Amino acid sequence: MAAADPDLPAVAGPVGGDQLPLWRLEIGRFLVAVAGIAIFLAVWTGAAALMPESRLVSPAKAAEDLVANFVFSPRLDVFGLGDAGYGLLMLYTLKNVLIGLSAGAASGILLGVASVFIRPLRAAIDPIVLVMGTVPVLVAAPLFLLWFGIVPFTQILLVAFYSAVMMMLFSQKAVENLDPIYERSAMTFGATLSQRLRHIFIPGSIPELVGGLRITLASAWGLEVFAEILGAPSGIGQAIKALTNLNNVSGLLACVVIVAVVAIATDALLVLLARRITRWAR
Amino acid sequence: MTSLAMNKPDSRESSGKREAIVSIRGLSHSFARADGTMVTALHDISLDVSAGEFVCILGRSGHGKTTLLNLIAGFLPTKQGEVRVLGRPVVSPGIDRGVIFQRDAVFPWMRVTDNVDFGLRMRGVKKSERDRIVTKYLGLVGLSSVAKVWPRELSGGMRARVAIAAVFANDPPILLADEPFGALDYVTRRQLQVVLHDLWRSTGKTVLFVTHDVDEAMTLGTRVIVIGNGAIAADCSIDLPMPRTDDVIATEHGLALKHVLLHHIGLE
Amino acid sequence: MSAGGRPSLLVRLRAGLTVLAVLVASWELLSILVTAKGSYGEPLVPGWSYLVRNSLLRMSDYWDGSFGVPSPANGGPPTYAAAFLALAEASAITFARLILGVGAGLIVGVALGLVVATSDLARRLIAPTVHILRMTPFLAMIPLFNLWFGASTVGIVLFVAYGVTVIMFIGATNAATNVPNVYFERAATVGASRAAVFRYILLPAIFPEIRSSVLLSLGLAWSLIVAGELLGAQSGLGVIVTYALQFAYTGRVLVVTFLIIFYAGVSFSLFEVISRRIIDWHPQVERRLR
Repeated sequence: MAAADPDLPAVAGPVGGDQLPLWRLEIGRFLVAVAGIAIFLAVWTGAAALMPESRLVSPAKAAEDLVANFVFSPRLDVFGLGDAGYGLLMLYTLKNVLIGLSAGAASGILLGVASVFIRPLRAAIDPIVLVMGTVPVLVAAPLFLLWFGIVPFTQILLVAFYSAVMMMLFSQKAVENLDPIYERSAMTFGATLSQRLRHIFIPGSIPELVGGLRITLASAWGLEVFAEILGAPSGIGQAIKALTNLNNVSGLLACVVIVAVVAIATDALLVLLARRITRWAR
Repeated sequence: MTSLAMNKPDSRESSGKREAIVSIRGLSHSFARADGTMVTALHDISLDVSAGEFVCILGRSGHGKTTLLNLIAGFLPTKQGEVRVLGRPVVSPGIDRGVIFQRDAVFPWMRVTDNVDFGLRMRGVKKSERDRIVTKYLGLVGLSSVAKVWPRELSGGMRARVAIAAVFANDPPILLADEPFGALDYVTRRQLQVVLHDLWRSTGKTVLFVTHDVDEAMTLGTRVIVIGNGAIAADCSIDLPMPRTDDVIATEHGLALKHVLLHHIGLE
Repeated sequence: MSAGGRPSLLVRLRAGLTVLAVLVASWELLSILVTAKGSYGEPLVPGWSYLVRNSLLRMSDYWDGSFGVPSPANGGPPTYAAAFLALAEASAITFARLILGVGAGLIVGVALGLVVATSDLARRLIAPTVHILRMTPFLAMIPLFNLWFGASTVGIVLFVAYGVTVIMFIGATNAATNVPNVYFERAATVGASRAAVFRYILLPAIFPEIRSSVLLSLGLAWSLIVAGELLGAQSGLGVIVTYALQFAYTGRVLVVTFLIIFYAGVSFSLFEVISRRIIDWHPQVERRLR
């Protein structure tokens, strides 16, 4: 191979813009992001100052409420939630989402991938997916509630159902979007269908599957909380419902913040995990 | 000069004594356009390729070269006529025909070694044996230092080297290449031509190499088949000495051959 | 066997009808097998005849008796006319909220997105906040919107508009930053004004990408409107479900559910048809070789 040519520009290094060292660029971006969040909190605080406490409270007040009621919250007791605080109730929500998502996503991916290869399965699944892919899955929440009652299974089923439909769509797309040249190439090396599935289709579609899983997870939180507000034995949604009846804005905001933090944290975890599996895709 | 004699494929005698490794008879192929009209891509192609030949299939874009190669590779079903490889009709891709693709087909989710190792792994070759073969071919294409690297970290030329090593490691008797160096810069292309040619000479494989570049065909081929409008327009042996340096091609004989090829491809 | 393409339209249509027939038949079978009743005596799995003759008919309960069509609420007999009028009225209210919410969200979201996209600093400054808002489940915020704007049309419209704004803002900034710079450079070489660049370069160039965001917003909007009406409204399709839920009228919940599924499907098809027309120019990238 040719020796490095001094006249050629370096291949690596920051692309375009000023020749700032990479770490300074990163720190700059981090500071800008922090400033952005600071502005957001400042606007929120300002708006709260202009409004009565029964409408909006400042982030500091909401945080205070959150800390005070995180583990135990006597005011939720009258609603039959015991003295469990927001944090404990959130555990119920977290558990339901994780169970529902894993069960639903696993079956959805399995069916979606299989349907690409098995024509009759595809013919049966496609119309269902076509309809369910456009339907707001939460319309099923009242029905599930009527059929199965106020038990954890009702909410888990809703999340699982939603995750299955979404991941079926995403996995079908992911396998189909994979450049057919890879399968052709594998065939010239004598790979059988199961080998192609294992070495080509599954690794090749993982980046898209992760993207789909992130979208599904993000929506699953809302779905679970909604199902809990509608009727559940426990969960942060029940706390939200109770606090609504109490007209307690600081508590409501605190609960929404908890859900948001957990949603953001689980998403970040998923990204970290995926990055390890898909190191090849940058 | 015998090499300038333009033979119809069926009456070719110069290498006809040996058993044909690839044999094509009366092959035609047409596609349906999106609007339903049919386009004829290939029309009544007959062709024999003997073991050890380096056949360049030369022609302009859209004249059927890739279709011909895809039919031999088994990517397209043979509808009319016959394609035989090693005496058996082609029905699907197989490990007797290695393919170097026009576009980058190196698996991005496998490291360089795993890409080269792929075919051997699929066939269940022993690990120690695989390691030996992979190391050997990575060395031959000059990739030993990047064996554990992801493909995205490589340049296009280096990925083409991975593709070459992967095919040779799998050791198919026949190698099909579809303009594999078309997207590379001039210098890289010339370097890779040398890599491929050296490997061909040391292994004695039969190569069918599709290209639109007359110079590339003359640099590599022992025989050039010109395809025009889906039919064989010319079939010439290139009896220039090897290696085919620029000086060899610039001889009177070389230039005469080039004029013949340019004529058949549609220039001059 | 290798990864196949999509089956032809005819095959898909036939398969679709078969699946539909199988689903309809299995539901009927299930309704015969499962005879359990809800707390107010309604079957938990009502058969088709019950759905039409009882649940659909009793939709007239939600009619107020205008236009001289008698309503059971005023002591009249339940009629299909009243039932359809009740459903039509509720649908119209829900549709109006949906259109207002989606429309407002689209305009505000795209406008804000394009403004922010013009400045790299602004984009980076606002990105973490937008990420937080995007990741905060919209559905968990329904009670907040009810509290702020009342459990009314205004609250629901603003709630839908908020969700759509967030999605469209992200879609618009991404689309605008993804437009190849060479288009702007070419426009500059012919001396295009800022307005002309906006009208002839930016808007058409972002449309294909915006299109998928709009599709996403539409799906989200249907979820938000249904959830919003279920958890706090005095009118609309969601309210019929809320009432029916209180008396465990499974059949009535089902009727409205089917109606919403139908509406959502129609709105998506309509969107497909219209947006296809607008992006006719877009080069379809042929990735599959067949």
